[in-house]
Amino acid sequence: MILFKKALRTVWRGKAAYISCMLLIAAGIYMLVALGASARALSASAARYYKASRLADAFASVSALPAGALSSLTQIDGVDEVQARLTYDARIVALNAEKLIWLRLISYDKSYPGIPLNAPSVTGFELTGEYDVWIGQSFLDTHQLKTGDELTAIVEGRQIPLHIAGGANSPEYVYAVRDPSDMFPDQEAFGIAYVDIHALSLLLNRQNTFNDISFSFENGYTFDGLKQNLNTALAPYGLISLIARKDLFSYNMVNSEIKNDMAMSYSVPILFAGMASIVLYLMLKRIIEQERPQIGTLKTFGYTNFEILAHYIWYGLITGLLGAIVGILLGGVSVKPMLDLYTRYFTLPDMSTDIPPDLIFIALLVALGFGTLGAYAGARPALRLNPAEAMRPPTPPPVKGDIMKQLPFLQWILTSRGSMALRNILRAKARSAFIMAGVMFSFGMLAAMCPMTTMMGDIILSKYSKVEAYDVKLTLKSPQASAGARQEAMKLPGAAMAEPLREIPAEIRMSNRKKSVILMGLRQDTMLYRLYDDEKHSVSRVPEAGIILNQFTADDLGARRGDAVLISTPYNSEEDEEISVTVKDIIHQNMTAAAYMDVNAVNAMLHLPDTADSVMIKTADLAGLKTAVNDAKNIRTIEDTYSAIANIKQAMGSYTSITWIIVALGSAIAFAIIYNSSAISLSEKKREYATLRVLGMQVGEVCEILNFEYWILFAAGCLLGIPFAAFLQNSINQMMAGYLDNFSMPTGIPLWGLGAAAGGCMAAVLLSNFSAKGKIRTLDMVEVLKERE
Amino acid sequence: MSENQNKNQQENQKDVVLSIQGVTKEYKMGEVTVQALRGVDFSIYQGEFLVILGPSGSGKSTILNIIGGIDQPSEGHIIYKNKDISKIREKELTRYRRASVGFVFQFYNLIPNLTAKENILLASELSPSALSVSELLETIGLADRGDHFPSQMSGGQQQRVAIARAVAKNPEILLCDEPTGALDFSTGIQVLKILKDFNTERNKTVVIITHNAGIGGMADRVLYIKDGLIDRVVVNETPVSPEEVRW
Repeated sequence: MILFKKALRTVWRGKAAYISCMLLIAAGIYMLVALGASARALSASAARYYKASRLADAFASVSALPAGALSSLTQIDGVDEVQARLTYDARIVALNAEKLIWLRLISYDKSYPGIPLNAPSVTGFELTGEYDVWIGQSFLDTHQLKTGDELTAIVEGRQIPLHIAGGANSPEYVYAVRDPSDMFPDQEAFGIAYVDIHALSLLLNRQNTFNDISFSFENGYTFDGLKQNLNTALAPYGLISLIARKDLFSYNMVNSEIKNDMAMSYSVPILFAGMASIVLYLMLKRIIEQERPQIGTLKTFGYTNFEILAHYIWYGLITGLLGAIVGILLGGVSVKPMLDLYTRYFTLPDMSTDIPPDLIFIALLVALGFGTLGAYAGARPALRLNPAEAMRPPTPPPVKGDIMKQLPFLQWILTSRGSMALRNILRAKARSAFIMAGVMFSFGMLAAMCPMTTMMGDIILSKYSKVEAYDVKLTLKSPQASAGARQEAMKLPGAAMAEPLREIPAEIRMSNRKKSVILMGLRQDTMLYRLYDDEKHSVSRVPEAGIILNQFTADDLGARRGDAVLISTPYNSEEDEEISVTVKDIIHQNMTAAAYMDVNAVNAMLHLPDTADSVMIKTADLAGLKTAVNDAKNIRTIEDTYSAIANIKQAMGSYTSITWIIVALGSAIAFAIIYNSSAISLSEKKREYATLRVLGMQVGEVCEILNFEYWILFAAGCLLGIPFAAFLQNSINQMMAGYLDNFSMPTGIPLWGLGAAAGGCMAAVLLSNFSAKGKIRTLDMVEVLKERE
Repeated sequence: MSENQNKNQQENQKDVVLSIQGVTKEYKMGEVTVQALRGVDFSIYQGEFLVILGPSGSGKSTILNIIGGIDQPSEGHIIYKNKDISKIREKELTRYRRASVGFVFQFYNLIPNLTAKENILLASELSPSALSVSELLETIGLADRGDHFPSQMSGGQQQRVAIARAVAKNPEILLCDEPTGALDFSTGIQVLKILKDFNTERNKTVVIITHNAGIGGMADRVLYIKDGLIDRVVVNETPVSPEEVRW
């Protein structure tokens, strides 16, 4: 008990050092609790929601499936339930003149017995009127709409008044984007709406046919096992796509977020607590040296090694415990804002803000474990101390060689203070190595993370500004003759350039590896969709024959230039189930798997006429063009790159702030390490420095020694930090590639990133040196020199 | 019967608490080997007030450390209650220190961030037969200073706390290393009085090592050490009281 009091008081006396150590642990525990609890809440809520709403196991999109064919699908071995729906993207008029607004109309069958697959959760009234709709709650909230309000949608060229009967959320649109290429949800521009199935089929003139099929499987059956049978069964109905639940964009994004946050919630705390543990080790090592006589006294009285070791381990435990408490409390209060941030992207019900008890247990385990480990490693020499020996000053370690003698030219370069600093570095090798490692770590973290604050945005924006050079892309409801489509497009307001485009869902296979992509048929001399090779030079022409893969597709297939790959699409004939094509080139892109061919080659390969299903347009009058096509019957969707860029910029805001938090933590680590080791170094040498002061040296002159020492270590740490930053960047890229399919960050750290990292570390050194100067100024020379060695 | 024979007989009749037999000690200080003890033999008796006198570097601190079980001899035996403590394991040696020995140091060695009372408690917590801390504070005249930290006390006060801490465990032997070495004369006398009182009132053995010959006057026996050997032993027939000691 008395020894515990001693531990508490010692910690209090050296509180600055312990607080910085505690803050390191607290930062790690904060991440563990905030991210861990949020990710678990997200995971639990998603799991509950998917189960309650019966999210399907597979999703298919077809041209037209007659109602009579449904029973044949149900009879496929392993298929438990089939649900057929109609979906249609309708433009909404008059809500916002600046933006194109879309509602995905989804048919709802009131007569379905029991809970349907992908059941929406509804608040409001029954769908009784002809055009009654339940609309996505976040869409309603964003547009400040409420039950009873009315919206006008353009369906098949007709303006239809939709009466809002209530709000609805769908398990398929937890992360609601209209198209995966949008990346971020924009509740203002896209929402879902459930319409009575009879009303929608009449509107679309598709009585008794469906274009959206969902499947649930019997226990023991998987998507991979059933895929072939489902493909065969759906092919006659114009199969456009067939995906497993795991590949559903919304489901995939929720899972990626959970995995990413879970991984971060474990790796970051271990990193931070590990650093704190090393700092504690150094501090305890120093304390053991300083308290040799006290340890001797305790041993003399009969305190056992275990009792003495336990006493010093308390230092680590107290630091760890305080770090855990602060981290848990801060993490606890951050769960709610974190979940609020999630709800900006994910529409999920009942996310619990409670911190799971086992997470608190893990937090305590990490904090106390690393605290104990550091303290134990530092205090272990106390066990070896013989009590009588402990009462005497330690024998100075033998000097093994002197750098000034080994490299005599240094005498000409360095002043006596410089020589002292250099010798200090070499004599306390472990401490010097630790400071260098601390600078290296912080430099690496800052250099790798600072550029990421802008890199993500740059990548996504460059997709629109560099690759997709068009202003608008119109997707046609049904393919049109290429020349005709282009001519029509050129008549639109402001149109300066127009290019027809083919976009076909395809599966590319090479031996036993497969990849599903959108195969894009481009003109050979395309100007509006630019492909870049690895050196970022524009690929001038799309080859007349053969295919270009981007590296995501090529990597997944294991394909190289010159290899033959097999392509299957919904348009392949039965005889040509798979068509062989040669890989002409592999290009680098940062996002999405893709494959490109000449549009004529695609049409010829699939025996299709010279048609296009989209048109890319460069226009000087975007607003005019949008107004002109607003009511066009044959246009399914309008993609406007400016709106997409604005949406991405807005969404990048929160990503950027998270990156800045990591940058701030990197600086905090640098400061904690440099400050603590500086404090330790100062306490070790205060007799030496007091002697120099007694000899008549000014405070500044004494500080020069310490400063010189730190600037040498800073420079060495920064140099080592450059390869470490590259390694860190590579690891982050690999991690992101693991979580986000088909996404890669560019490699290489810009000069400004290296500069910012050096600046961050330099600030930490300056602050530490400033603090050390204050301590040297207040050194009591008489007291210090009176102290027993 | 001669006077010397009589003395020897009397000594033989006393209970031996600890016996030192043929003890040598070598230290390695960096690359130098120091021969601190060259073969020392003597016994310490129950209730005895023993002073070991010698100049700096004579080996007296080494003897104290070895007796106290905080250092071990290079050769020889230390017999405590029929057990050779020079050969026992660290764990048993710790038990010996815990139960049987109290230490007083020249520079007090109080734990700086514990109060006077807590410093004493630190030792008393180790013993089942510990003395009352408040009584001890009373005895050393610091009942009103129990909550003071060492830095808030004079050297004499700190040494008194150190003595209280040493006796708090109620040890068989109290070992004092230059207990007055850092004190002025009058404070030194006060400290010696406390030590003598512990010796007489509780019938405990007190061993003092010092280079201050004046303290030898109050001892029952004085061992003179020189160059790591016992130079001579003087039995004091009429020890003086602490108040009469002069240096």
